[in-house]
Amino acid sequence: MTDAPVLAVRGLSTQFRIGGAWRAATRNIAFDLYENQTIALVGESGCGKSITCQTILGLLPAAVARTEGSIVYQGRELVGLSDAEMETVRGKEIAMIFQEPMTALNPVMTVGEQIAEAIRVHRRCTKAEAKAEAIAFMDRVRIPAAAQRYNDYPHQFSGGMRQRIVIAMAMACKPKVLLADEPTTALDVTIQAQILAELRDLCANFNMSMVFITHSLGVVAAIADRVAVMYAGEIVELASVEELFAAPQHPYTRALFQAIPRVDETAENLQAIPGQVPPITAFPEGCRFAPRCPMRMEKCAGRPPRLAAADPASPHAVACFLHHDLALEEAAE
Amino acid sequence: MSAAPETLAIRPPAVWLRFARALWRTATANAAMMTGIALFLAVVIVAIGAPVFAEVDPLDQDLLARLVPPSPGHWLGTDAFGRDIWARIAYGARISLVIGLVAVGIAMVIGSALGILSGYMGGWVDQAISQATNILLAFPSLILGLMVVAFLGPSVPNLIAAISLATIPQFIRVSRAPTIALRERDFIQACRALGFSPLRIMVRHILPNIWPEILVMGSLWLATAIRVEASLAFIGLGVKPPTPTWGGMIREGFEQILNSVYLALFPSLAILVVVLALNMIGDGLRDALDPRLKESKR
Amino acid sequence: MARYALLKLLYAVPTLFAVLLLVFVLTRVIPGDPAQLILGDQATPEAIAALRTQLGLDKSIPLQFLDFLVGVLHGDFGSSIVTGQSVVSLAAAVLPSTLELTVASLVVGVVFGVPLGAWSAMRRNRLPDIAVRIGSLIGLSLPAFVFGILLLVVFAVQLGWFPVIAPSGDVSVFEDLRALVLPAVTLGILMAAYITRVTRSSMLQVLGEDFIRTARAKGVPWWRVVRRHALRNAIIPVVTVVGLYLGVLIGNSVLTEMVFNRPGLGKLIVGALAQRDYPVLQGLMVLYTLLIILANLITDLAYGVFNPRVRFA
Repeated sequence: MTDAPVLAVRGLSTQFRIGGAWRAATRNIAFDLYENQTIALVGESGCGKSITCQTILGLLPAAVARTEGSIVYQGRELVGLSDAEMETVRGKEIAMIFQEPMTALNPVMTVGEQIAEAIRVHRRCTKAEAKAEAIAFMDRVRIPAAAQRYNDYPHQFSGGMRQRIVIAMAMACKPKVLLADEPTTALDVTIQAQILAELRDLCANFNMSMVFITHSLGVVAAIADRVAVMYAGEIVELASVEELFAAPQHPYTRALFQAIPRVDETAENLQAIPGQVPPITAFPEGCRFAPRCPMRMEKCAGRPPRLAAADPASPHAVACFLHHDLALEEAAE
Repeated sequence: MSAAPETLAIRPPAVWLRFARALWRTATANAAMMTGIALFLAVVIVAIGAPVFAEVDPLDQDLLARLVPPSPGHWLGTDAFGRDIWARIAYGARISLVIGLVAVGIAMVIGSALGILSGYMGGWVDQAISQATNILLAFPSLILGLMVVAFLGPSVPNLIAAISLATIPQFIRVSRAPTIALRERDFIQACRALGFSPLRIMVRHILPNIWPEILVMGSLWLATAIRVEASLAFIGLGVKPPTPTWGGMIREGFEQILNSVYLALFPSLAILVVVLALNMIGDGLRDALDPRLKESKR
Repeated sequence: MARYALLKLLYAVPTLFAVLLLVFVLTRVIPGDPAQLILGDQATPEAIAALRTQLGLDKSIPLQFLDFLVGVLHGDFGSSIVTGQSVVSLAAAVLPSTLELTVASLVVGVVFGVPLGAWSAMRRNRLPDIAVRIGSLIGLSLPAFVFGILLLVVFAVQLGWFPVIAPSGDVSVFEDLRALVLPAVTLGILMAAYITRVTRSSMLQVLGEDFIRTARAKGVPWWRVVRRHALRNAIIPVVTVVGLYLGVLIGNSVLTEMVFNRPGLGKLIVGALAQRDYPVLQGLMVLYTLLIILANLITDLAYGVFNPRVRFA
């Protein structure tokens, strides 16, 4: 493993224009992604996981969204690149797969054309070469009779098969980083396991790093090396999978673990987190989890805590005053 | 808008209220719709108060002042018989509006009644009504109107009949589909379980829910009806001369186009204003109704 | 596909039958005796009785309908009571001219409507969008004849770029096309107004779809996303609407042909109206129905070409 991260995100904030004012949907997002590693972004829906991924690829429309902070990919700053410059990054360097395989594919183009297109927009090659390569990738993600199915349309495939096609499309230019936005959520459990295995396999074989979004801690355990737990647009805890599962520090992370049903416990121990994730227009002043937090202290409502390690020797970082006294310097917007 | 429709639908006034609120919001926020309403009201006022607004009788001929361009005595000039164009436009508005409103009104009542009946009853009733609708829908309203008026003769009642006939299927179509969707919903099932008569369910529970869509259709088809009436008059199938109609005036103006453009120009503008106003209102109503068309952030 | 087309045509049979019935009923509810109408006020009772027998009006109503149906099935719609020519030959002589106009205006409508609608959607709520929306609203608020008169006065009478009256007889292809421009634009603008609106709303919907994001995520340049992904999907509802409005187009060709004094079904029908030529009117109504059924069939088939989800087995 080399020391320099493939992808380094620092102080990333995505803001949306809502009713004329800019509101930050995510704040101070920071993580490093190393070669061959998978980092999982975990959290309830609406916590900013998908927005963060789409921001990395610059997919949000400029009219309603803007980005602050820094995204460095292999030493190159991505924030502030023009759309034309980003087009050479998208797909070729950083690819993305999505949650809904049923809607992620263009219904009026054959699946083969869609994979071949990904190849042809990044590399000079003939149609025949692109086609041969697309079939090879379809084969690679285990689509049966790939050559015959090249000319089929998305509606002729099952959900799991479509997700494989989406993956083949993302892999077509052998990107260094794959952003996977809940790629298994919409699938049956058995298919989920197959797709996860497939993704793990591809990462290992193509020397690829992955940002994996999920709301399921079970999936995290199966695929990730490191985990970033997100809440209301912020990372509240960042640790290796082993550390996080062994000793979750943030009350929100602990609540997530307690919300998983287990066979060896009675139903009384299963605890739902009271309340709801606040909407983007009503984020609390201090710690954003404070209103729902069972261990809330007085100072939690004052300043937002900074994501930092409680023990300077450990990379396990948490944003909670229970573990350290560091606050985010800048005032919340 | 996001309140559960089930709870609202049991009390029909709530649906009304919701629609009225959406309407008010749209109207005040939507400049085009406001303009449309203002223009349409202006035309209605001119039509009602035609004798006040135009001191001259629209049939008075002044052979000494033929094809006069716009002047203080004749605001919009005169036609080939020396009749005042402004007076003829003001009185012509009556014909256009009466034929349009009555024809679309009739079509709205008959069409939505048949549509709800068809959607709610299903079975052979639905089959028969749908088949008839499809046949009538196959016809361009102009050709259908033309045929009916050609055979029955041009008179106000016949024009109304022809335009209604061409418009009814549109209202059947727009009310049938949502009725089918509503029929399966819990609150309608509940009404049935309570033993309400089909008539009561259709009138008290289904109609209030689909009424806004019918209204949108009404405003858009009123625009079409006025256009079709003018077209028929232009072809020579309008209310018989010398009664002033906009289409008829354009027809006369077209014959005189090389002598005076005003004769064709002003009634054309009148049609444009009314139809444009109605289309703006219809579009605004549709926006008020359809939350999908609203600005959405993803 | 041939099977599908045949099936569709079969479905049209009841429609056609109903139209024939409607036409028949309409001709029978005309106030007065058709024979009297044809021969005029001065006709002797003997002449009227003779004509009644000749027209089959002395038979019972169901029998008359049967006669009418048999005639239609043989392609016999009777003859014009004015010129004596058969209705079929009258219609056949002018049908190409109307079809030419319809197709040309369809082309104008698509060529202007689709790009304008797409452009408008992509510049949503900005100046081009607002301009296009106002333009299309005016386009569909103007009756076809008003716009026709405007074009005629400006471009034919004032500027003299195009002929005021369509040339008849043998003319060069160029002259023929030159005479086609203004009528085709008149009708095409109407069509373009509809197409613009549908393309815009359909495009707005498609641009929000997930697969657009997928295409962008794989690095497809924006312009290519619009052309290859968005437009190809957005065009599907446009096909349906074009099909629906073909009827409107055919209807409005009547007005256009009147304004431009152009031979065609519309001119024929207006002439027949003026002279109360009932057989011609009857025949034309059936012909219009056939045209519209055909237009719907073509639309259905075209829909399948654009939408792979409904390819015919």
